[in-house]
Amino acid sequence: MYRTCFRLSLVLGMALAGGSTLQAAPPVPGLEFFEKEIRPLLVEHCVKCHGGERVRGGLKLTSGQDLRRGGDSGPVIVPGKPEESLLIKAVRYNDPDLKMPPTGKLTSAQIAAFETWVRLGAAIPQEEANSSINPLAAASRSHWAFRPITDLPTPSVRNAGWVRTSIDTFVLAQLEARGLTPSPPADRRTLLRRAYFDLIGLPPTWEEVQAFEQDTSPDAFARVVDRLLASPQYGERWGRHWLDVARYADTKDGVLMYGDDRIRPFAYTYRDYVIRVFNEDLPFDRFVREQLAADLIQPPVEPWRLAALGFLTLGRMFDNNIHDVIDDRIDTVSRGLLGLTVSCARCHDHKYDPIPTADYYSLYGVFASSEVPLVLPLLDPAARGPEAFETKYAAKLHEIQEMLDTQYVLLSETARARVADYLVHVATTKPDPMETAIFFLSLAPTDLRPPIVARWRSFLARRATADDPVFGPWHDLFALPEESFSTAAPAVLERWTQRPQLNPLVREALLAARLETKADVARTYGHLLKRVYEEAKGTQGSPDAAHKVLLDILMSRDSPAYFPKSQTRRYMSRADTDAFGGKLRELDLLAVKEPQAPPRAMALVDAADLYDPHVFIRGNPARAGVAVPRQFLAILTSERRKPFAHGSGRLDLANAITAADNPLTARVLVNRVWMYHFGEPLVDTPNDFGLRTSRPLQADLLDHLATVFRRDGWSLKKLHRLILLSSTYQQASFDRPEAHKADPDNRLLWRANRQRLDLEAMRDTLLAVSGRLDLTQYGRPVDVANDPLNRRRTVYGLVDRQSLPTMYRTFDFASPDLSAERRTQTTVPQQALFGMNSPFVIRQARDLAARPEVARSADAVEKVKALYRLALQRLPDAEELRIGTELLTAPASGPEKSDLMPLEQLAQVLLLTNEFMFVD
Amino acid sequence: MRFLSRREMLARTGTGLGLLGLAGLLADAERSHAAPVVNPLAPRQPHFRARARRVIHVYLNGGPSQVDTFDPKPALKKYEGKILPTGNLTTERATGTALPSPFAFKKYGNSGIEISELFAKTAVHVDDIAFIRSMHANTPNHEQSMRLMNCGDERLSRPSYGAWVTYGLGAENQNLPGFVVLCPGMPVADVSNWRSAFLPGVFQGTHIDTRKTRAQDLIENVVNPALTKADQRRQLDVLTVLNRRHQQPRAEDAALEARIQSFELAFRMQAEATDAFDVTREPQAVRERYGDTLHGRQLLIARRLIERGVRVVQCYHGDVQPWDSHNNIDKEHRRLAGEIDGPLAALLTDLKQRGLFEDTLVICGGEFGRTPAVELANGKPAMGRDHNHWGFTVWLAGGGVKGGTVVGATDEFGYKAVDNPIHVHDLHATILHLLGLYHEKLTYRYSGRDYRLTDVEGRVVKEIVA
Repeated sequence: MYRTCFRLSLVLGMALAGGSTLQAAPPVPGLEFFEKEIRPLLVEHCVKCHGGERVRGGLKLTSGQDLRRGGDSGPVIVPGKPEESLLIKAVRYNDPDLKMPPTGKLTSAQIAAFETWVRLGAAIPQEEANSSINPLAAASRSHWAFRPITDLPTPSVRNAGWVRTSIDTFVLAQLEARGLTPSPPADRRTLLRRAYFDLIGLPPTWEEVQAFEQDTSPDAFARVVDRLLASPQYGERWGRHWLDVARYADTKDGVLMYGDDRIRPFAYTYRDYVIRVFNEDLPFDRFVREQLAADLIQPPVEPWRLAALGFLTLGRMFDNNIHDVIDDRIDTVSRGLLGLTVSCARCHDHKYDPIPTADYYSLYGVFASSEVPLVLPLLDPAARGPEAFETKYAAKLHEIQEMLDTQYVLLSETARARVADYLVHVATTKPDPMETAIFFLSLAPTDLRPPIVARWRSFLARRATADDPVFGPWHDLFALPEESFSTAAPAVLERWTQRPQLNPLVREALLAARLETKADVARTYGHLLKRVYEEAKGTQGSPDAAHKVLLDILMSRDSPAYFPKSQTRRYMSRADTDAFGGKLRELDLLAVKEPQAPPRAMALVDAADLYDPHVFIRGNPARAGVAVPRQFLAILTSERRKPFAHGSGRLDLANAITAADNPLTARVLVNRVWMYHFGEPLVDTPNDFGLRTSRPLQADLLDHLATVFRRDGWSLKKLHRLILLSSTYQQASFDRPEAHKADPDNRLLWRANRQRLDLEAMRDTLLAVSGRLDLTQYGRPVDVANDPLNRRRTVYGLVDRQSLPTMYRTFDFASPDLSAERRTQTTVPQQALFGMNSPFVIRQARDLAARPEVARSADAVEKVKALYRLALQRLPDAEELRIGTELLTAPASGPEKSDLMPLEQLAQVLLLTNEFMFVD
Repeated sequence: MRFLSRREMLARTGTGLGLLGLAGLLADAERSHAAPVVNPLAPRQPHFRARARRVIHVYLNGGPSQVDTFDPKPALKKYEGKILPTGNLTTERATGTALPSPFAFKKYGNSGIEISELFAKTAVHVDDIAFIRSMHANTPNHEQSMRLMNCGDERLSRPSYGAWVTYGLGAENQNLPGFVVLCPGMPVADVSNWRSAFLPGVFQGTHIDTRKTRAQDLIENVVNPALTKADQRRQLDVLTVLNRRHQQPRAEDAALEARIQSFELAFRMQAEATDAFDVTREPQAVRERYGDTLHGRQLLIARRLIERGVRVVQCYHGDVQPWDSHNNIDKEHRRLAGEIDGPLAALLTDLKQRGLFEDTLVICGGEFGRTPAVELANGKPAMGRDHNHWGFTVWLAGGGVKGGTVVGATDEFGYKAVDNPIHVHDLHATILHLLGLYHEKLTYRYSGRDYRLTDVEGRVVKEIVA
């Protein structure tokens, strides 16, 4: 997987210290220039060969020190003197023997940048001595998004009469500063439609529009907003927004799985949980804690809330590669909740943001210490399905548990018992890159397990040193040339047996052995370790020190032979893993096939063996780097960081994410909420608030919203209310040329944005106006994509990650592969084809035409009026009436007759109009 | 058609800005003071002069054996029944002694490149084909290697090259999808092979199950089940009138205009899409040349599609992984090649006759090759071969490709690419290059990074560029 990340190990080490330097001393000229122009060039064009794994020409360009030191040809920079600097000569491409980068000349602007930088003195931020915390952090703390959320005073405005809520002052102040004015309020019908689609994703009825138009009381709109927020449909609308962030899907993405085999029978319990807690206005900080650690919260949560953990567990399976599964969890948590792209730090320190690889593995440790339990908890512990099902389900669970137990004992025992085979193999072969790629190899029962082989290799690399009391002789013996081994070995042994620090058991074994080859050495160690292990099994009491040291090599948690039970499957033979996978599939299938199977939470629990993480060098699990504690990100920890103290640390993580001094979580959330209300977010990249995202124009407003949001107990409903009751929200969406010219993108919010219905709102609205919408809540997913007769809200449709239905893709549904920051919006003819030809839309057109309000109308005029009232919540004007009645009374347009009657044809036309599809 | 807002687009195209056609369109939109509206499938200029304008990828999924097709290894005969002196490399399963190819090789054309009897018909075109005999990938397993070959990554959700190309160049016909995938059934790892991942969904490949034969069954919603053509035309006319009235006070909003246009496009698409997939409209002689078989029809559809401006057409050989001959390769490969050789030769001839060959890139190969050593089933030779990602052959022909060339080589026995090894990333860089795109500059900013098809890898294989 390290292939997929930027290979460049960039140590922007140089930038790092910039911050502290900047704070302590006056700014160094050129530093800013370095940050802006030079660092990206070095990263992009130089460090691949001059730094990281390769150091061409002895030149490293990965830290300030290295840059000054130069390479084999001496210093490459003479500060102030570009003409004398080798680096400049190289990038200019004038010297036939020195052209850098070799892949192609830089642009003249880039070369000029290098020249300017050297002329300015080649300023490079000082390298910080302690690099265990990415020193970038210091420099980056000044980034707007990492600074504390400020409770700003509301700015003063001239047109105070326009201000309805505090939001308006921030918006108006910006408009006034640029000589712009807000738009007039939207008319009543428009405002009502806007609020309905926005909050519940459904249109108002004609009667509701009438009532609102006639209600002149000052709090009429506030009452509408409160009613909509209290409606059960609110959670379906806003919960679905959250499901985009949670990359929710109902299916597995396993290969060669089809149909029901693909369905995760209880995924829907997470979707239902989200809808339910949005409706109950669960404070957002609590919502975060439940999604990350519902199982760890004290006092224990009601059992149904354990479904919250689906946030972590419902991602892709990545061919059962655990590292990718964990990466997906880190990614969803960091981008989804914090607006940080932590996954970039999987293989190297983050290229732009203050996220060192160490921080990635701190979070890795949290999720590697958590596992999906075999028996998922019931949402209602007392619930039971039909007896026959329960019996079969319990039996299958038992079968799986039994196989797991047996296999774990067998495979762990084999791993220890075959220590000599492992050591001989490691001693006599070169590392095979396939060793670490076990997850796809087909293993025969007798094969050595590649991950164990890899761990023995790194164990020996660590332990076989010249002074080690156990592996010291190994080290010296393996240093001998192969040809003269048998003659030179006795002298080494002789020397070692004299040394008092040598483990007496090792001494004894080596003396007793015949060592003709290096393999004999490995075999001797192996047999010794095995013997000590076997003997200890039969003995009581604690072993002496010499025994204990050897025993630990096979028995401790750090032993290469050790693996946690949860990973047993990786060590099974092909036949066993297929059988095991088959049983798991059968278990799920039992639940899929039994509609009455009591729902279970897609939970996570802390593993019995917690995992103490260390960095994987370049993301390669076989290359262990420094050990790191399970802890939170350095950049978001203001005081001294403490390792997470409780179990896996999931609850600590959730607490850190929602802590009062975390500047990101609230900002990221209010930005999302704003985006759904206004169609555009305040910060353009809702999942990335890192250094590359510049301070938004409306940063003050963002901070104000975040402040109020937290002060109001992280209540989403209060936030919606604050926004909807503002004059800003209630503006008309019509264009005003003078304002358009000044601000074509409406970033200053001088009008409302016209928004198109998304897939869910479109389909639900079609059903609503045809009078067929089924408002049943919750439950197993249904087929909304292929069944034209399905009448449920779209949020209950099956989300098949591996094969997203055409309808979903055509209408820009968010990809459930990754946490989605926002949906793209396309306009393509396939959307029109759906409207014109799909059995679903044709069905709605027929049903709309058949509604009693239409059917009982006496004549064409009344029928047209009824259709407009139902589909668009208004009456047609004279011209529309003329066009409509003309179509109803027109003769057939050809000799063939259509199945759809003219009335149904007109109904369909109204369903296809832009007025239907867009909300002003 | 609203696609991405201008500022979103500016943000996302990152370093590709200015080179990427989309950005240019956005600039035009800005100049005209219209809202930033871009048809994501509108044709766009490449970064530099393209040698090929479209791609047909004949995908022999499952992994055809290089030593039985395009990479002759007579030395295997010498070791028949014996372990190769160089040893066997780690692949998915256990392998045993050398297994010489049961197929005869012969020199073809002026270039004298040797090709096995399995592809005797295709071999007629040998002087127009460039063979990369030193392809290599990362892992000997189908799912990972399929995704690598298609998306440049084995497991993570990355856009397929077809999606990238369509993102970069758009399509030349707005009545058809830009990227079409033909397969009788579904290859292993199914949709992930042509996904758009974080690119907008419109760039995802449109999968057509070519087991269906009726044109209208191939594309969803392309036929109206309840209206006559005349009634539908009248209906759309009414719709346009109503939409125009609605549009009047909202004239600045190009999204409304785009949607109005999309209905007209859709109306035309009904006719054109049906037509494109209807091979019965081809002259009898042409149909006979391709053959009235599934693969004959499939490749003929491919030609009809690219002729109409579809950018990328992939043609998978079959459901799951047909070329996966673990057992009895003599029989299995003979059958499979028998299905595709004739249609493939006909396709190349047809492209040449129609003047399409010069600017159509034809790619042929699998996700990996197969082992020169025999696969062992329960310790006994199964007379088939295991997966082999260490070395295999992919060939290219057509637009910008230097015909009659062989690039790179595997070792004496065809196990591993040793001379000028070409990784899948390099193949991708080359495909983009032939289409006039810099693989390092076709980027998309997502989740804080500028992503590209070749990630941080990729070298254009200039040796095959004419």
